[in-house]
Amino acid sequence: MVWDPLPEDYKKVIAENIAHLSTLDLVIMLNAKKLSFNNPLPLFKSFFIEVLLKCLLYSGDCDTGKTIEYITRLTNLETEFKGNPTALEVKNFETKEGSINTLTFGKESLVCWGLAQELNLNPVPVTVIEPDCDVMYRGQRIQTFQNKHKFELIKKFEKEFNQHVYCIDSNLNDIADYTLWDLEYTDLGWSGVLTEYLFFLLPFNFYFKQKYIVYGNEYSCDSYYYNKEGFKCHPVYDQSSDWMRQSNTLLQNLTNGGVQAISLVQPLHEIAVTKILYQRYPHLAKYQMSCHCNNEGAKHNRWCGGCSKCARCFIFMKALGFDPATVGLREMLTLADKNHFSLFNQSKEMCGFDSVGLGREEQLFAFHLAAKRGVQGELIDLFKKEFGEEAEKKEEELRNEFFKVQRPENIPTSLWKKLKPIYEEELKK
Amino acid sequence: MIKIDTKMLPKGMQIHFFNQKYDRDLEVEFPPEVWKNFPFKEIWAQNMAYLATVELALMFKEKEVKYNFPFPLFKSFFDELFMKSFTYSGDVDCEQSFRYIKDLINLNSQFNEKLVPANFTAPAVKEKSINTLTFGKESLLSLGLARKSV
Repeated sequence: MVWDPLPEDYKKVIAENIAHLSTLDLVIMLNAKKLSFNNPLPLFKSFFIEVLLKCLLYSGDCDTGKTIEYITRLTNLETEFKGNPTALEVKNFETKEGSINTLTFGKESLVCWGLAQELNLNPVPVTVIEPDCDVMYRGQRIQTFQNKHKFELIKKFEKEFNQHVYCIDSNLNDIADYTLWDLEYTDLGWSGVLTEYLFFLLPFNFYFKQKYIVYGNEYSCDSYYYNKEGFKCHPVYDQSSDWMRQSNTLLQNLTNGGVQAISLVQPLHEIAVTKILYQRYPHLAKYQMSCHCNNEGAKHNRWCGGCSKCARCFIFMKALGFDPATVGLREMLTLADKNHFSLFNQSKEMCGFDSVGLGREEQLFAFHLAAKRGVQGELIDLFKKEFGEEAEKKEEELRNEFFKVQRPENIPTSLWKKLKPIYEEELKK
Repeated sequence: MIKIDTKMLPKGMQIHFFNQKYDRDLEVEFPPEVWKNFPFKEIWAQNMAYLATVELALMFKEKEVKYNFPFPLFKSFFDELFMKSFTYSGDVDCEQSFRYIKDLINLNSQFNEKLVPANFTAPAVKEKSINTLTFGKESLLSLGLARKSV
């Protein structure tokens, strides 16, 4: 229904570009010298090289601390294509002021859903279903349990809101999964995912004639640090406002300006997104699933309660006076949970920002707010002892940063005029 | 910080380059009849200005460049070209192939927010060529071949 009406040349261009995009990480992982495709040079090859380059800086830093090794692999790679580039007759996508929303049930995607509805964008929810993993990797069983929980949420969501959720089935992520190739652990494998989604969603824009693709990329996606070799490293460059700007030039080239990618939560920090979700959209908040569900703890619960992502969401809820139990998240303030909070500990096992300490200040602020609210627990006591004084001194500064509406990037003025008062109304409560 | 401004001229474009040391205008002029009928003047100028000034920013060891125009549509294409070219430049200049790639990655480029809507309609073209004529042996041979194949 969605794929069929798309013009044939677009189908071909999408397939060629996705084939290139989804294999680049693997080539770096395998340290391959030559990559040969049976299709022509894809229109957007340079875009993919750029996103890969920016992402592999962080991956290299995570994996070995040696970014240059991965850059060498990329610059030395020879790529071969067959045939003349596909002739694309660029269509004017005749779209209206509406949106296709990525619905992952993460807090950002839920807030974007609520906002898109308030902005009268008649959002169409689309989710990408990737198979859960169940493999033996070097003597250890690796499992994920996301889909089971996601399907339950989709079913409930569809029933409660009488809204069909469209699913795209894709196992492209398997291509660059180091466990399936029995390679050493690597952070590589994720650089193209969000850009793949852009190609996945385009047929929906064409079919429903909706102008926007809405992602849930928050302000901290722009965070970066300089590694020991002096390179700027972004933990999630493909979610940054910089890459969204680039993605929009790609869409401009492909749709003559008919489709635009935006994030309705781009000017907000995570704790501010949480505040808006639980205050303004409690009917959506109950669906929140932010955990990657990649350990035993998530077998029967959509929150594993044993990772840095669960810990971060937990302390945000406590800071804001919401009960994590309402979404099925267990109590996480015992000393046994200490290592899941980046404020107390940073390690490679943590997710993205947490592993390099970029979320530290936001967590300091969240613990401070929770303590002020009278939340009890061993980790609150430890926080008071170790960081209480620091947080007290910085309270004003932290509040101004994390509850501030940041400068909007990639949001059209017409939407911004309606969004800003909503943010301000909620964040001053 | 470097500031790069572009201005459209009746016969082409002007790039204004400004930093603490220099304040210069650079211009490109076309035969008027060619420029007048070209439909993508602004997009061409923005992309040309980015392409022509990135290396200058790195030569001046600048950390930030501010452009008075929107994000160029073909920035990624240029950045790939720079990446591939800089390994050689870095090697020749200081035997550090990644020196300039690092500078490029770390360079903070700021553009105007709004993208200019481009309506790309393919120009009606015939099986003919525009030849770069430098009077080098390759360009002379190419000209000869192009004429023959017509």
